[in-house]
Amino acid sequence: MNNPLKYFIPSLLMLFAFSAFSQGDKWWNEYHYFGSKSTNKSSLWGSFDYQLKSNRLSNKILNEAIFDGRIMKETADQFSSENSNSTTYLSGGIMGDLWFRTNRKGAWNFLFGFGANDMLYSSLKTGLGQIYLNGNGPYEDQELQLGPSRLNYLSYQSLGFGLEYTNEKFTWGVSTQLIKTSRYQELRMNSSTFYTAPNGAYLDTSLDFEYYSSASSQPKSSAWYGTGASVNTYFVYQNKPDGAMLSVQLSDVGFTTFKGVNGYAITKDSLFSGVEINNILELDDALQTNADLDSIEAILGLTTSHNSRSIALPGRLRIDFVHPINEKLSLAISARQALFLGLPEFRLGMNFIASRFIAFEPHLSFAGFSRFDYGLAVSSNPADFLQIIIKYDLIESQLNASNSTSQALYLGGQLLF
Amino acid sequence: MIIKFLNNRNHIVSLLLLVLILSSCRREFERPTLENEILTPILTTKLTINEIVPDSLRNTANDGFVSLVYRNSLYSAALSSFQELETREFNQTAKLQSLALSPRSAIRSISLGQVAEAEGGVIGQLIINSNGNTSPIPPLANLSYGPLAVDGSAFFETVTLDSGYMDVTIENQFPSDLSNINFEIRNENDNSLVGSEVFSLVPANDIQTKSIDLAGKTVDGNLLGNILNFNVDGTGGNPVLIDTNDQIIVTITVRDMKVNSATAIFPAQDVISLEDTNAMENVGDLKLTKATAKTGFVTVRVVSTVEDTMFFNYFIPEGKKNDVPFEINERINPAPVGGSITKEFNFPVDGYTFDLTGFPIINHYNAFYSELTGRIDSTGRLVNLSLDDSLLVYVKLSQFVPEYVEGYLGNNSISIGPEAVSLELFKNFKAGSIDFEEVKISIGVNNGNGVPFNVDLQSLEALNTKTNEQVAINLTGIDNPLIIQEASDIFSPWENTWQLDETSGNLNDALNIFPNRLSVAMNVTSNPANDSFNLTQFAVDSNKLDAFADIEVPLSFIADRLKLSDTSSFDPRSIKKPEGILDGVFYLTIENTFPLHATIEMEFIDGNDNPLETAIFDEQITAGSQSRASTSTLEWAFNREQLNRILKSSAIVFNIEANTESLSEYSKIYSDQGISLTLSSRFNYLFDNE
Repeated sequence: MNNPLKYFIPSLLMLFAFSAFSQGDKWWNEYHYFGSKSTNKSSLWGSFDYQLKSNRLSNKILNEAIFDGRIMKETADQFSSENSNSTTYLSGGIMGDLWFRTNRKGAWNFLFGFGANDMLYSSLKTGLGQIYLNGNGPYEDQELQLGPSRLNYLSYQSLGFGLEYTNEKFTWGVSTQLIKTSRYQELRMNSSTFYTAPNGAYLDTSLDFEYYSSASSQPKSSAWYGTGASVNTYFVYQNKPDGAMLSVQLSDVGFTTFKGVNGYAITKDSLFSGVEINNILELDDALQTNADLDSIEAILGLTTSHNSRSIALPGRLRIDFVHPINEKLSLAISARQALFLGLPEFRLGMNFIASRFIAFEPHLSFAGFSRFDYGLAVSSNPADFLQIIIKYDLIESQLNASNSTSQALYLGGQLLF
Repeated sequence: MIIKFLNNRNHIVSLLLLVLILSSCRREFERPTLENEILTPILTTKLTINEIVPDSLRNTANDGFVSLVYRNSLYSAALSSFQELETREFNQTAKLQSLALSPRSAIRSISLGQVAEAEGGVIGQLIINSNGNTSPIPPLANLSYGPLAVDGSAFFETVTLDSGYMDVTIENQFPSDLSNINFEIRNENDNSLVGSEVFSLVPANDIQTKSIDLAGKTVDGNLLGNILNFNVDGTGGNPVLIDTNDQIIVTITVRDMKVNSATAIFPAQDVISLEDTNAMENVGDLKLTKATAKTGFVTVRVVSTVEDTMFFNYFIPEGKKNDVPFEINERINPAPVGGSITKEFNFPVDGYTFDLTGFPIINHYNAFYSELTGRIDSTGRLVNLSLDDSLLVYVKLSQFVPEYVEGYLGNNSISIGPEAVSLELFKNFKAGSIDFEEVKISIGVNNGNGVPFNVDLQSLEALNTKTNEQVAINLTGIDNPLIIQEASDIFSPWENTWQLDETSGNLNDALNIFPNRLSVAMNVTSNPANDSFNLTQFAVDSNKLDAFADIEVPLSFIADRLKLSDTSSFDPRSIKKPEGILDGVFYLTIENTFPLHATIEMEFIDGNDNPLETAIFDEQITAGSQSRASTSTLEWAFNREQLNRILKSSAIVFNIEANTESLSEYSKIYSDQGISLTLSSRFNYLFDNE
């Protein structure tokens, strides 16, 4: 009789398919949470990873922005006390994929999978964020630094094929993905300042930025605004079957090309002291002729473009070290870095296998796009063919949103056969 | 295994369904609603005395000291000579003055052979047999011949003549004298005698002519001539060459016919010719020698009984436009038999200049000379005309409004007022007091026409109709009446001003009520000397007699709670997306070099002048000076309700209460003084993503 789980589980795994998860994660996750390494089985694994991380934006701000759709003034005011000259990191979005690994005789196996990535990475001058959240009113007679700031947002889907080589000590895999990009936004702001004179007598700006965006009229699933390719590769080393494991992954290294993106650029120092009126007793005519949008754009020196563009994907480097302490305890130390953006992030987790069916892993992480975070992972191996992992990093955002700055939720699982 | 898995259609459907569902779950991130505090400048402007007082109302001395100058019209009118004039209706019934017919001739002859044959007998036979030979011709008496038919029907059927002649010419080719020739001519139709003549002797080979007077006679187109008696005197026995073809030739010529009536083919001829000197009416005591029409018509109405096409020409030789005289050439169709035909023509005379001296007939005024000519053309048709036929012509110059006149333009006197005229100078002054160090008021007159006037200024009052205050201005210091001379030409008006005495006058008091009206009463008399022999005067309808009051006020004054008000239209649509503004503060930052303290409020009003919201700023603008600008920042806080009211307004009334720095010393205004003003605002703005 067919096990109904065998039908249900693939469907469930599909739920996980639309987040980012590298097939390289399979090996250290399986070893750390379940103490196993299923090299002699085919597998179908998928993951869903939601994260929202910042070093300065509180979970209260993030929750209100994402879930409420409105950031309250009192919440935004908390951000106004930050040092405008500092850097605010923010990354967020969802990632996921679904991969199938064959089980062939010999060392080589094939990998097939697809995934989706909908992520934003930014490194902003805090002043830019403050102006966005609070306006310039609280910063009267202050010069706010707006740059250098960078923001990159991509939403893309991929279809991949790869090869994996396995022997007693190491596993090496590589896959290549064809990418369909459905959304793109990028902000590059060089050194820029914004000064508001007392009582708003004038605004003195020095702006140097470029902003690019693709179209957004079509839904993400069907939109195909850019085409690209990427490569994932991973290397897993384990000297002996029950020894420590080292996993190194390089993911989403590639590019995407757009036929045409909308570009906006300003490189100009401007002093704005209001619409000039020749005769205040003929106010109406003067405001009509001087205050339209074209005039303001002309004052700011805005230039627009629509050209083709190729960009690099936000690749990631990840190193995981799993050290099994005993049959029930396993220590995992991880480091990961988004390529060319942000700071490295470190993670420490101690997995306790309470029983075959459940294991708990308290963990903490720091740096990266965040500060210091903690959470709890729960994993289960309810059947020989099924492994499920849930990493719950929402505790802080639920218990102390005003004083915490990050949140994440990871769902992963694998079907073995 | 995966192939086996996918071989099941149910599995495929489940997978695809999940893909679709999950695709739609990845929602688009939308920008959150945010409340920002925005601090921004809105507008900036500079106001100097140049923007507050236009050039036309301002004098600036070399040192920059500013005076207000204002000219207020008191009276302006053109001369009454530009009212509509008209001529009497020139009408003339003209009968056909003359009708003429062309002279016509007819020739008849009798040969010797025919005479011999008519005589008959031996003598007749003898003459016939002697043809070609010489032979004496015996006397033959009491011969007669006729009738000789004379056919002029190709030229007339019948004609009754006032005068005319029928010449009968007898040419004797016989070799013998003829005597006692008795000739008559009769109308064939009724055998009435037209005329007769007796030729006592026509020698051989001679021509004799006699004329029959046709005055009062009716002559038909078909006539019969008879030689009632003639004698051949013979050759006295002398043989002569006998040629039976020798003839007596009778030529009948009708000439110099003045027709009374006729059915005839008339030659082309003028049948009416009239000259007239046409007098203008409704001119009063004007003596116009020339006038150029601004508008007007020559109306010609013609009634004709002439049964032929009449061509008429109406000509005013001294009515010219671009040196081309006024001339009408028209035609009127033949009248029906026994009836008449009427036609009317209108010809505009705009731009024509008429010599109104009556030249070339007379040398007078208010009259112009014209000619009327009626003519028939030769059509080659028989037409019935008589001197009873008439052409009635009515000619009138109507709706004539001159734009330029010359001559003597009349002695007229009109009383004006008391009549109030608007005074705009203080329209923005609402209350308070202002004491000017000096006030000058002059009365001026500009005369653009070549006519002298007297203006007797009886009273001049300053009125404020809002506060019901009035001050009668003391008119000492000016002449009474004011003697106004004529302009030298239409481009060079005569102008003069008379200044009121400011020391004994009450000019400051008059201005201190901030009058919005000046009430004036005066008598204006043209040609006060009544020199009606002066025909050199001129007037143009666009040139007027203007009386005005010139007010000059150097801006050296003491102002005490002087309230000024001015209104500017305002379109709240110039505020883009105001729905996001929650509340805020307006800041007015002012740098002031005027020597005035002031408070300011902005009243927002709707289209019916109802006040909706008033922005009262908390501080006052401090006084500055030419050398030092004072800086003031005024604030006004507003909430959403107040902003909503402002957004319904259509105008802003700026109310300012100003005081000079000192209430005992005069403060002066210079052209380089002014205020720089920046309006900015701090407001909470909701960027709403909904």
